[in-house]
This record gives sequence, structure tokens and C-alpha cells, in this order.
Amino acid sequence: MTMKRILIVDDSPTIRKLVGYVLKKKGYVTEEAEDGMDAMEKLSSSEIDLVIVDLNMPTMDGITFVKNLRNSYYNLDLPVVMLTTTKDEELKEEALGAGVNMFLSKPIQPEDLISNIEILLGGGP
Amino acid sequence: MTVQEFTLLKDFIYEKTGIYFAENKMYLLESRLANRLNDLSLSSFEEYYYHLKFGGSKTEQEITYLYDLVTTNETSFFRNPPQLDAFKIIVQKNYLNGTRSEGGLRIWSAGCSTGEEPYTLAIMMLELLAHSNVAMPFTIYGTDISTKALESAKKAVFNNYSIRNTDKSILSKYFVEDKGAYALKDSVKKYVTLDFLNLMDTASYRKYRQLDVVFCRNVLIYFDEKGKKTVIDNLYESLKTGGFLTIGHAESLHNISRGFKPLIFPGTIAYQKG
Repeated sequence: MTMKRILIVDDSPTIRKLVGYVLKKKGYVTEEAEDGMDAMEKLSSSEIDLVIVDLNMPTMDGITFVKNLRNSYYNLDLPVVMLTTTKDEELKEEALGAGVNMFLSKPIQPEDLISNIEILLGGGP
Repeated sequence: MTVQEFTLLKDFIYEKTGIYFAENKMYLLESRLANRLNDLSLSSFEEYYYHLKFGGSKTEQEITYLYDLVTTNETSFFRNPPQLDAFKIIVQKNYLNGTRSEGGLRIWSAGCSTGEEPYTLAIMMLELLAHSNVAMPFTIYGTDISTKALESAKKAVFNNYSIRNTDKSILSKYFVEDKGAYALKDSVKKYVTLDFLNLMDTASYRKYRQLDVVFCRNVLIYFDEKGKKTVIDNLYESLKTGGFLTIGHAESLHNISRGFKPLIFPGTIAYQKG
């Protein structure tokens, strides 16, 4: 059986490492990207089941990333979780409008992260 | 080749073409230029450098030889199917079924080498139009820095290796075979205009404006970071708003350009001018 693959998009290597650790421990395969452009390029060359994305990143932010993904010709309905510290409701509205499936707040407990992404994945790894 | 000779030549090539030979590519450059030394009866690479730099009337001609030697002409018809399928989707959704077809389609194969890519795109356009009820004019430009490659492209006679990924039905429809050589028919050639272009020469892009689709595959690999940015900025200017850029499947615009909008296609990506 092939394990589900999750792409972690964050400009902070520490966050990527932390989230990756939680997911790998649970049995997921992870890939990393440092911003939206990097993420789009990674998505074009490997099969990914879910994306966890930060809101604020240099070169291409999380909302622009989701807009581009939803405008694509393939993989456009991939589940996207936005992991963010923002309390700004307007930004959240904009992100939802762009096509984000779920918001999770940083910092997050590992079990909350897992249980929430498994709702979107419809099961475990 | 000594390290000093390598430095002189690599700097000269970089200045003229933007093509960057890293320190570990000294032997590659040496092997590519060695025959040229013999042809000119020169005894060292330093002499060759002076011949290039101060050869008077011969300098210009020698530089065209140099361009041929420092580029690789590895290409074939229908190379990298996912990227070509993406091209098909772009043309179908945006032009044949869309509203953006006024004035026809302008396509550019930048770094076209011996012509396989622009001719592939011409064949694909002919096939797409044949299967739709839209009549749309189109033009394909092919440019390269190697005049030798362009001469070969203009002849448009290809060997078995070039056509190895080409369907039999396409071969019989658009080529005439003679003893293992495949000559492309004029019915395809007439859509392709070939010309010399140095991608580092920003002024020469003026001829290529308002383009709908640009293919620039496996060209960025020759350039350093600065050169890549120059080429991509120039290609961006050449595209019309909403036009698409395709680069090599192992190449990336990450940290090179912010202007393009990446869009995912099955197994590949294309970049749209926003």
C-alpha cells in the first residue's frame, strides 16, 4: 500500500521540520516547499494527497498559491489546510474564497493536526 | 588547457552569450574547442582567445563557430509528452474554445536548435485545427544562437533518432522518407520562421512581441542566476498578457521570476503572464 503524501509549504525550515516530524511519526510521507512557487513546481512533478500551507511567505503567499492551484488544469481540487497565526478574519475570508478547505491555528497540538487533516483525507495514512 | 586559459575563455563566452561554464566544466570546454585549434593551426587556447578577441575581420565569423561549439543540440520530435499535452490544453481551452483567438496564434520556440521543437508545434497546431471547426491563422518562430543548428533546421531533413517518438500516422502524413532520412513537407515548414537570436541580447527581442505561447526548454541550464533572470524577464516582455511560458521539465522559475502565475497540468507546469 502506498502511503499518503503531504506537502508542507512554509518559509520557516523549523515549522516544516516540526510539522513533518508529526506527520512522519504517524506514517505519512512528506515533502517540503519554501513558498507558493516552489510548491506549485513540486505539485507538478509528484503526486500529493494534501497540502499544508502557511499564509505569509516571500515570493508567493498562501492565498496566491491557492488561487493558482484552483485555476490549474489538474489537481485543482487537492485539499489545502492553512496553518497560520493570523486572527485577521478578513484575510481568512479571502483565503476561504480563494479555495482553502480548512484553517488551523499555530501553535497546534500534534493530535489536533492529525485528526483534522484526516477529516479532509477521509482516513489515515 | 590551463586554468588561466579557461578563465579567459569562459569569461569571454559569458560576456558574449551569458552561457556560464563553471570551474568543473573546464574539460568539457577543452574538448569542445580542441578541434577548432587544430583547424586554425593554433598551438594553445591562449592563442585561440586572442584570435577570438583580436582577429579583426575574422572575429565575427569565429564567434559564430564558437556559438555552435558551446551549445548542445540534443532534441527530438514530440519530446516530453506531458508538456505537449499541456500545450494542447492551452490551445483548446484558451483559443479554439475561447475568445482569445483574434489575429491568430503567435508561438515562439526560443532555443530551437535543429528545428524539431518548432516543427512539432506546427504539426500539433495542424492536427488540432483539423479536429476542430475553427479556422485560425498561426505563426511559429524558431530562434537559436547556433547558425549551424539553424542551417540544419532550415533543411528540415531528420534521422531515425530525431523521429523516434513520432507516431507512424504523423510520419506518413507530414514527412517524406527516403533511405532512412525523413524530409518534412513544405505544408509544415511554411508555418515556421527561423532566425538567429542571442537570448542575452535584450534589444533583439523587439522582433518577438505579443506572443501567445513561448517554449524555452532546456535553455536556462546554460545560464547562471543573473543570466536566467535576464532571459526570463525578456521572455515575459515578449508574451502578451495571459500568454504561456513552458521551460524544461527539470528547470524552475522559483527565485527567478515573480511575474508569472504557475498553473499545474497533468505531470507538468506552465507559467502564465498575469
